[in-house]
Amino acid sequence: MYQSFRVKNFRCFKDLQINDLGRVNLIAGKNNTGKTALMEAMYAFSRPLSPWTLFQTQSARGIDVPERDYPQYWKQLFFGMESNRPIYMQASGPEFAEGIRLTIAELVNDGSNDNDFADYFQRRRRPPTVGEMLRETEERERVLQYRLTWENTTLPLVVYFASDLLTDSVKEFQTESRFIPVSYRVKDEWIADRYSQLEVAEKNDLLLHDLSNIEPRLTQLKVLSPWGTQMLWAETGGSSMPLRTLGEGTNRFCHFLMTMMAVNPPYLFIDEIENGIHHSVQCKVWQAIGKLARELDIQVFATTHSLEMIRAAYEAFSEDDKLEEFRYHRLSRSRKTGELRATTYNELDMKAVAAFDFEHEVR
Amino acid sequence: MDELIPDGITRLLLVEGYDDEIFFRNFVDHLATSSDTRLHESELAIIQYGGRTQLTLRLRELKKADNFEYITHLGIVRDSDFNTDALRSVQDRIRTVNREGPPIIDIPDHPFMPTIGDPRVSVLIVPSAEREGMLDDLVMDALTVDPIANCVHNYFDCLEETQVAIVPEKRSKAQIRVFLIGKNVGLDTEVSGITDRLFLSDAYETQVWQQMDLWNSPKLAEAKTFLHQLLAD
Repeated sequence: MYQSFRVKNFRCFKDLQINDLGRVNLIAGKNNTGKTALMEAMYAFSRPLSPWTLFQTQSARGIDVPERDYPQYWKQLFFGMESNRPIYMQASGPEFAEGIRLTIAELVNDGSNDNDFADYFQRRRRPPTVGEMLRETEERERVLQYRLTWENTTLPLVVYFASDLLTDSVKEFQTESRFIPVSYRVKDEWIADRYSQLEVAEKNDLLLHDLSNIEPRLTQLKVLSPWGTQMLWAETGGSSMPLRTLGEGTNRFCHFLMTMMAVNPPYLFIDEIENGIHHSVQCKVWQAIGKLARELDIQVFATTHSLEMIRAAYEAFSEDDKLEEFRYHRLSRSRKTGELRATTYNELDMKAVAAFDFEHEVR
Repeated sequence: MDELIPDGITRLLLVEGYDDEIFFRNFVDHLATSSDTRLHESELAIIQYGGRTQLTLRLRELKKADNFEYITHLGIVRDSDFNTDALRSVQDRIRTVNREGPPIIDIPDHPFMPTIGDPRVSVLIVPSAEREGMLDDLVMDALTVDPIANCVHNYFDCLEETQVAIVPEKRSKAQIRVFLIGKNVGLDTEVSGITDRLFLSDAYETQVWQQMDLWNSPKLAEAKTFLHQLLAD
């Protein structure tokens, strides 16, 4: 579990430090204060052996690889679009007392052909094979240089991932963390597969129970394939229908729950968690997320613009007497320096805000 | 939704409740128009903290608020209530929130004397550090020059002699109500129309304090200096 995180030269962050992270973290802030970018950074950090992670975050923002001028695509990840300054990330936590660090830098003059790379992205029909070169620098850092292989052609990424970890293997820090973007509908097959896993593990009733908090008429879930494709079907009010035909909030919440229960990632990132979820059930959504995070040892990060969602989180963790597990973080821009910074509200701070009934702006 | 500390605010005055907020807001307005020295009244925000038990919570909230870093002066007004060591109570509450982490708020050693830190912190105990009571007691003190105030004091003495129970901590509030009725404040044009709520703050709309030149009473000299320190450079 991360206790603190620092990111430099990534997207809008020149240098941001966020401390006192909790089991469940809700991040708010005005537009363009880096809420999503912070989670992208942590997501990339949690998967240092997966160079595709950063490209996934670009794709989730609707940023496609251009036909030409590929370097501009890559530069968008760097603060001020200046890729000559490496991206630097660092975290501390009980599992890594020394702290872990990751540097992401542009590989300069490696002879790669930008057009080849752009063509590759346009042609890709299946996940690429990722090759890696491991070497030691003069500073005795372990450097991982990634190359993507596609149809007998090896295309070097115009980047390398360098980790100055002092441990023997960087692989122990590679995790199966998950990032759920703001508008993303997971495939039917994925839902059906995960549900089957839960059924085998006899945990499907737990999913049904939690989902019924959003849709009280829900009485049964089952995997069916009447049209050749396996889908999850829901029985509500005596009739069956594909879960997908229910509302956005129900499907999104189902995605959260299945990711936690079936994938069990150590870190889960959810962008704009309030999307599609009615205020009257938000407290129960938090209670379900909090319970799973606790039982399955998952650290959750979510962003929001919604005061109702912040209040609901406070109420949920208060009601369960687990407020110490919850942290609220506000990102804002300092008028003095113009830089972004994080303010963290712990249990006592949240009680103070709640004592005055959230009467002033905290988002 | 309003920010707790809006942009442009550099001075904060923490007061217990609504009556205190209105009282000090009018006092500040008076000073702004009558003072010879330049005051930064437009950079002041007056914030209620809802009573002594809530001060810790409000300080905690303030420390987390955007713009707290721009606060140069922080004033805290507290009723002494039954406690002639109200300053110590304020000190304890600041100490509590300081233990929780930065930013650290200066702890004043004496009432009425600003610290030299950033922000400068000062505490005003009302009616005074040596006397039990609340803001209403201070106002009643300042009103003694008015003949109606004598009538009110006599009336309450009489009530006490006839053993009519007046809750001690509410005595000055009750006196203010009676005083204002004597000034025809809160009396509706209809015979039965006495307003349900008649407190210190209700007198401002009728300009009664201004007419009585309340703000220049020697009894309010300490409060006036406190506000000057808060608002001057």
